[in-house]
Amino acid sequence: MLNRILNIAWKDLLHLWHNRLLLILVLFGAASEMLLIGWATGADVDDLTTVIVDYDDSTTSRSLIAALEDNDTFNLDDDAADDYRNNDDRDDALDDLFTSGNYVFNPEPVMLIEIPEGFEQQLQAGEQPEVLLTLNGAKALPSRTARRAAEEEILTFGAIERAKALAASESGQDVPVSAEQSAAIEQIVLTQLETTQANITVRYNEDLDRAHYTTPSEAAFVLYIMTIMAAALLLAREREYGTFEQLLVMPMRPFEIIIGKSISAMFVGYANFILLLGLMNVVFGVPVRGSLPLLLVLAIGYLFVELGRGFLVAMVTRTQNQALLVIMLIAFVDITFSGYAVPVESMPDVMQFVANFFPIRHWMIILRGILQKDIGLSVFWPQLVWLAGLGILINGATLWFFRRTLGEQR
Amino acid sequence: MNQRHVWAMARKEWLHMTRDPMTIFLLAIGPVLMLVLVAYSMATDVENVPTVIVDHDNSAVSTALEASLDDTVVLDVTGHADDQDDAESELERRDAKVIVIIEDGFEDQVTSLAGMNDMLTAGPRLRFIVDGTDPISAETAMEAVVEESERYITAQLQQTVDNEAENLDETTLAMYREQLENPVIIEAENRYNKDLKAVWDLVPALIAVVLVLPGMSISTVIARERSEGTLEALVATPISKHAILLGKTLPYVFVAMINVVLMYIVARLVFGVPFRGNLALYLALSSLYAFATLAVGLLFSILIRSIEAALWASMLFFLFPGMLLSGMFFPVEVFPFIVKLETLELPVVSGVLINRGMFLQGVGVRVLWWNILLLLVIAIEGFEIASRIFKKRIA
Amino acid sequence: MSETMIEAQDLTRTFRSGFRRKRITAVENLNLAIQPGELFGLVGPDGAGKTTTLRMLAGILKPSSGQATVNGHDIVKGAEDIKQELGYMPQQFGLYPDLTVDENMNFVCDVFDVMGEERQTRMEELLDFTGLHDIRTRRGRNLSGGMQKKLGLAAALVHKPKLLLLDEPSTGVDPVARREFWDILTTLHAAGSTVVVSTPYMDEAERCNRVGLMYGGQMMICDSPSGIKRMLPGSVLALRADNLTLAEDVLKQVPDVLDVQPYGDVLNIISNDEAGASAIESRLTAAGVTVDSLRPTPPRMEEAFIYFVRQYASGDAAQAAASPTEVTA
Repeated sequence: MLNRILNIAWKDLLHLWHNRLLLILVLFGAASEMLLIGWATGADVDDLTTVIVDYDDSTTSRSLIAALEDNDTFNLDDDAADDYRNNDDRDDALDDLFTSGNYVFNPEPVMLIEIPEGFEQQLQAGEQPEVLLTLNGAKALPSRTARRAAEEEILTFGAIERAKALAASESGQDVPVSAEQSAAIEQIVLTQLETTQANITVRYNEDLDRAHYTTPSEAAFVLYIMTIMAAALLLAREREYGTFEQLLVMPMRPFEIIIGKSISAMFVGYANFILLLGLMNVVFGVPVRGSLPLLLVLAIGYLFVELGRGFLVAMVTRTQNQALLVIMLIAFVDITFSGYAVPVESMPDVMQFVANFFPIRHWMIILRGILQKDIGLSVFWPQLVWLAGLGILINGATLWFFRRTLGEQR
Repeated sequence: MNQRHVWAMARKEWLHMTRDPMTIFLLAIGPVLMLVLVAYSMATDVENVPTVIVDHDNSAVSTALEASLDDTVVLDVTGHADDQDDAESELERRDAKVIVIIEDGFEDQVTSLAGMNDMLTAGPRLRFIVDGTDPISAETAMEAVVEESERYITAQLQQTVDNEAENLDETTLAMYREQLENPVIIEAENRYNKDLKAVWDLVPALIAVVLVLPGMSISTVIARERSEGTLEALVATPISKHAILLGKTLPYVFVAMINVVLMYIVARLVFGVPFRGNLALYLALSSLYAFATLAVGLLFSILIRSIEAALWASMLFFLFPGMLLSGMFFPVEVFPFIVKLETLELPVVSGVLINRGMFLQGVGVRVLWWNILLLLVIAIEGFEIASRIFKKRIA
Repeated sequence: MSETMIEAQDLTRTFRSGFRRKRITAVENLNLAIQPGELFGLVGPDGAGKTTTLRMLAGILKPSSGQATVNGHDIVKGAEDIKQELGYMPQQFGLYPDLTVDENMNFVCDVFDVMGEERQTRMEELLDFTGLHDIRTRRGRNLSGGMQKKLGLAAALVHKPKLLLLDEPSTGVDPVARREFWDILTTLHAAGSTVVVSTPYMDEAERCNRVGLMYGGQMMICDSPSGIKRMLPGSVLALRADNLTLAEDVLKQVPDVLDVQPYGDVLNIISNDEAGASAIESRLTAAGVTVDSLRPTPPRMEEAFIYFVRQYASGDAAQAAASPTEVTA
């Protein structure tokens, strides 16, 4: 029996070896892809084009602009500010502002900051000047980041300026106070702002590095696609070319064929997994805090579940092309439930429940848990139970379809 | 190029497509189905973040703070823990993403002037621990917990100061009041998407992204004729190669446009996304986008001889970058410059920008010319290269 | 029309194949001239280079060296012109399995610009001619092998091509359908069409007016069937005996016996004229074989072909004599 299984596996590996383009795509396509994507999506959200219109044009407003310019989040666009001021129709001017540029060379502004007339005077008199932020809602994520950073910067700046004004009025001096004094006040205000804020500790990803979150997601995603594709196409190819019939008339039992076919798909999947894990760790600095052997063992289990899904796809489709379309469709759902863009916990309740039926959901919890949290079986055993259950369900269904096809063809 | 030949080819390809009920179903309904499912799941902001409270203060104030944190959209108080270790194990199990630790003496800090002074010098007796695994939701949760507790503390202190007003002289009172108010008021207004609805942001982008399906599907058309042996007879006929390629593309453009129309209707009626641009222009640009995507798929189809390798290559090109670098999740403008240049060859990036621009901003050719130009270049170049490489020969 | 229809000079085609990219010569220095109105048979074992030759002539495969013209058009520069005047039928079913007979025919008519009334009459004519009339709505994949070949032929004929290139049209077809198919070809030939057909079957070769024998990428002999048979040296004797295996072994030792070919319960012996039937019979009896009958028989293409291939293989290859199985492999 073992012999026959190995025979099938060997045939598939040979097929892979003979199609060198395919071999390269299958082994290195995912890795090179992940490098590019990880690099792009792990980037900090900064250098956001921001336009400041200063109606006050005072020493204070100019130093606020300087403070904002020093902030890495912003990249100030002065020309756009002039254009905006020269247009009397505010609505029209805003449209012009937010739609100019292209994303490669000079990205469109995400935020407009308007400093009102009398800003300096009101601030020094303790009268709370009103700064207006207008955000480009067509760029949701960057405009949100820009707003957060702008609020923090402006409030800190305001607190310092107020303190300076107070100090000046107490000592009867003119504003601005002397340079040493102003530096001292700045220091005091910053310390005070820090102390009055509650202490926040961030766990597991202390620097809130985006790459630590996105790359495991992307790796899991790439891995799952590779495996499911390999499995689906291996079987779909046989069906499409009619060689499946020949396999069936050979003296082999269904599960022998399935396991034989699994081995080469496993080979592809596992090779990719090791490669991607290495890339994550070395290039993107994602830590491996938990047990590496445990992760490597569990990965095999996870791959088996996804393999089953690949075979299932192949069993319900007739051609490779159809198999691919089905995989694409479930891929969209899978990336949704991997929590890549939105945490599953925030989704509607129905969807949270549905997510449980997608193996990647559980795998992401295990993967992140081992990589970042150093947790073990005692914590994620429910995920393992789910995965095992899904594995049995999916592989059982595959076998059932397989038997049915056998019945049809004999 | 003989127009009749193009139509003959297109008609034949259309027959192939419709003869195969599963393929036509997947191609025509699949994208719409995906749009609904993905948009419904993902179009939520970071909400209901599980929050665990460690309350060492056990006072009316700490209970009120807890209630006001629970009242926010972002946070959801799911439980209590006896001490920090307990709470952290919940963090490990993902039962909590945020821990709020209220130390003993917190009530005193917000209900008396002495306490207020203590808070201003020694800091509030309040600590937060946040699960940073997912930076984006962590940031949102942090912002929410900080903002809400500050708002609560400020309100409490204002009341405290008001209560003590009679006992204080005017300057001291003014000083206290000043401590409690922001030096600057910041008004923020979201243009194009007033309430920053995630669904408005996501759905137009998704419409562009799911159109990669026809693109992937076309990547096997030539390989299929090759493997079925029909290519040999086809290349021995006088039909020109341009007619073959264009004829093969047209039915896919048609399917893509059915998708666009269906998805447009779903976006408007089901998800209530506004459409502010010119509909005729939108349809024209959508077909341009479909053409560009299909031209790339066609190129794969010609470059790669085996169905399998063509499928893998198109998967690697369309699915991963198509989804992850499209700008749907993560803004393209902050990519490293080299990656930005790389994205120039991805029609989906322009597709997303055109869709968002036309749905939300109502912009036209004057603004989108750059993306239109890119798509035109991709479509024409892709088609040109494809027809230059495609030989009416079999080897 | 008096011009040569096909003229090939030193036509050569090599491929790289396998994982080590070994160079394989499929067709080597092929010279060929076919006149209008001929029914030309390209005969040879599998792998002899027949398909490669036809593909080059159809303008869908570039020769590695040498040149050829088809109806005056160069097969490289004038490939598209050739395709206008050519009916080509590949070895595999070249039409679409998921389309019906009608849809396939209509597509081909579109491609060859056969329009309007002409298309109607032409399609009726061809479907009648090939007997596909009653199954017009059946899908390609549901046709039997013979019907698929007929559909392929009908599709190759819609534009009344000046030249028909048919690649093994009768492989995988039952004998009755094969006979019908060849009747159609003969009718076409009689009507003045130029037909080039490749086949591994010798009985089909006999129906051509001229035959080219290909082996190992080279054209061994090119002549009319009777001419080729005449080229067979000596005479053919048919032997019926009790122990043919023993007889074959014995005969191979006889120097005047050029070749021995078993056919069922008969052993065909090609011998030099000097070795008469009686001499052979006595050798056999001496070796203990009981001869039932041994009489001269008219040579067929089959004997000629096998004889020439063996001659060629033994002269060509380093090995002394190639066995028939090696030849066909």
